[in-house]
Amino acid sequence: MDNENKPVRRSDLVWREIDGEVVIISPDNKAIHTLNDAGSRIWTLINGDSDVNTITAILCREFDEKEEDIKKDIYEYLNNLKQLNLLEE
Amino acid sequence: MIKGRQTIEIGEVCCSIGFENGFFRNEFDAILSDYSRQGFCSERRPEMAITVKKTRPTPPGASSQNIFCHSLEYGSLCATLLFDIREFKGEIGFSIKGFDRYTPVRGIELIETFISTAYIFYFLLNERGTFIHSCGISDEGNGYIFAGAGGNGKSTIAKLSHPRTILCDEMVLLQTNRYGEKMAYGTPFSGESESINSGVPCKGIYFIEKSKVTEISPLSRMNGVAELMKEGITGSFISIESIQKIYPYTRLLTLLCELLKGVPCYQMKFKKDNSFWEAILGQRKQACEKK
Repeated sequence: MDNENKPVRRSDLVWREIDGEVVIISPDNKAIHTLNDAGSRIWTLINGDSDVNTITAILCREFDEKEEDIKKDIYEYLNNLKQLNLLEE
Repeated sequence: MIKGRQTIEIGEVCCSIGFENGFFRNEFDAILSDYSRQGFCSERRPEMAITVKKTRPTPPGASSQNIFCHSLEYGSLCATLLFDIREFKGEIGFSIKGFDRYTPVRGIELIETFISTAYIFYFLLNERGTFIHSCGISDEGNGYIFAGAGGNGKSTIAKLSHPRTILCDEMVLLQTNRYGEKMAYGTPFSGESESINSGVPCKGIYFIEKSKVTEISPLSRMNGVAELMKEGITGSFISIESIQKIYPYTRLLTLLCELLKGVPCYQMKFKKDNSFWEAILGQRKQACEKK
């Protein structure tokens, strides 16, 4: 996945943001996923409109971390989501 | 001809149950006497109606989106529920495989399962509340729900909670009343202890696990919702997948989020004595003092 890639959530997933945290239900295997606050923020941003650079810039403003660390975390997180089959191909 | 209609009440919602030609009526009397003793029989006008018949109803065509059809087998006994989810009216019919005979106990269990299914739909489709596979206890008018799968200790919690009031040790209704209060109600679908038809404000939901120590840790509302989805809001009555055909996950998630607003959730490990009550009430006192 490169910096210009615009990751997007699978459209058939059912999810809700509750008090800043996200719970996701995958209708095909009935799996339930819960995300922490940082993960939840990334989840809300991966709507297909923002590329990794944009998401990184947004998170840099919200979290007091170095840009390179944030970008590394985002990639790691997106890989996890991909492995869980929560992202569109 | 429908003989001997009887109305039962759960969470202030009444359901009339009739028996065509008296079929299964006598067998159901034993259950009704339990329901009556626990306060679940009512004289009020019913919001739902179910008729028990000897023959299985014909399943509706694929176009009948308002009819929920569910069949169950118990040994050689087969039963089908057809339930109109707009009118909240249904019928239950039976058939026997082979040359077996009706086994009243099995038949009664299937009827109870279908009644609970009808109630589950009523509360969900009216966005009022949900059953929770749990033990409900009232302590001085405050309701506590202890949720967990089979073997996690619901019956144990009920036994260890004496002299407090057991709402139900197997299935509790959590619903919002007209004042927006979240209430825990007993249901007649109990395990080992007697239930009671009573509703009290719900002060917390505890996801329980047996342990050598008692330990309570707070859960976020999101985790509370996830636990409810995992632990089963329907118990063994009906699978969440079956419900989802009528009441999709999107609505279920929204309802659960709303129901848990203002109801704190906890993970509770407990050892086999009543010390968990000290921990619960101590924690509640602290929370009240902070406010």
